Amino acid sequence: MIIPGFIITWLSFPGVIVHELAHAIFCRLYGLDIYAIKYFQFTTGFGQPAGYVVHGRSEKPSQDLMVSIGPFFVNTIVGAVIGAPAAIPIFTFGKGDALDWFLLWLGVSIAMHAFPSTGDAKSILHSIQSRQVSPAVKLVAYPIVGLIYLGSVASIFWVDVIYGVAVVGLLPTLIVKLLA
Amino acid sequence: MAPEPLAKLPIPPFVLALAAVTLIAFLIGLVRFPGAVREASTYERAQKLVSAGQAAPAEAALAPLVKSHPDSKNVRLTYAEACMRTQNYRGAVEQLQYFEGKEVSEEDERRLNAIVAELDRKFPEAPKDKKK
Repeated sequence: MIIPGFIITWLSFPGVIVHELAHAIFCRLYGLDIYAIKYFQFTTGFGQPAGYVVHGRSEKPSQDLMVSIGPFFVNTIVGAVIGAPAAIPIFTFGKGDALDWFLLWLGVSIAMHAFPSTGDAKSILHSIQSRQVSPAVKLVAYPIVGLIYLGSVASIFWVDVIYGVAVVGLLPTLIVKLLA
Repeated sequence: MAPEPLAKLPIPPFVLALAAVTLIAFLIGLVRFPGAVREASTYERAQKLVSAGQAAPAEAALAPLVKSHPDSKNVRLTYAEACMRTQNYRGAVEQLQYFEGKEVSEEDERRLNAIVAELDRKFPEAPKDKKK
């Protein structure tokens, strides 16, 4: 049975909200204007993004880059810290209580929305193409844009879900095996 | 006409509620993470010790885990196996009693049957319905 992508997005809505909040936090951090913000809309999947932030541009392309990819770090870290301690009782000890399952869902939901969107990629491209930008920034930014588009295609194959599960489940397992 | 920037970031009640829940969950995770990793690595180490024939340290390591995770079949089974190797048969039987009437996987059933078979070999005269 194929589950439509928008159903997955509805079920993991906390991740979308944290993603947009992360964009907004980085905008505020760099003093960028925010013109509109939508934390989550159920019309996603019908030609609409699940959420968005319309913001101004920084004079520093590196700041624009951080605004666009900030959610990757925020969602990954927050998702891992929330979900990993819950994954251990469930998968290692084979027994988790209701709180563990809730935290696991919350952690995976947040981590799986870590990937920047193609809208974020366009924002990065616009930032580095429209003005004088140092080669060092371009060297970092172009591969990131490529990875974002790759991630967007890969999400058709649930790679974003796999990423969320890996962050929450695989990461603590690796840490445990290293320490054991 | 150029759009006006938002003077204040609008945060609807449901976003505020989710942010609060996420923050609380994050703090819970920060508090739980070291202990969870410590217990899981203790369990992993104990499993390796049992496989390597070092049952005594495995049994010592698993005993507190049985107390902190009394509903974990994995921990109880591994502890029972360690007890058998250290000839702590009472400890092994106590773990077997936990599984009475419970659904188990095929793998767990195999491990349980192996323990029961070994106990039967060691104590062939033991009454089957002895209660204490």
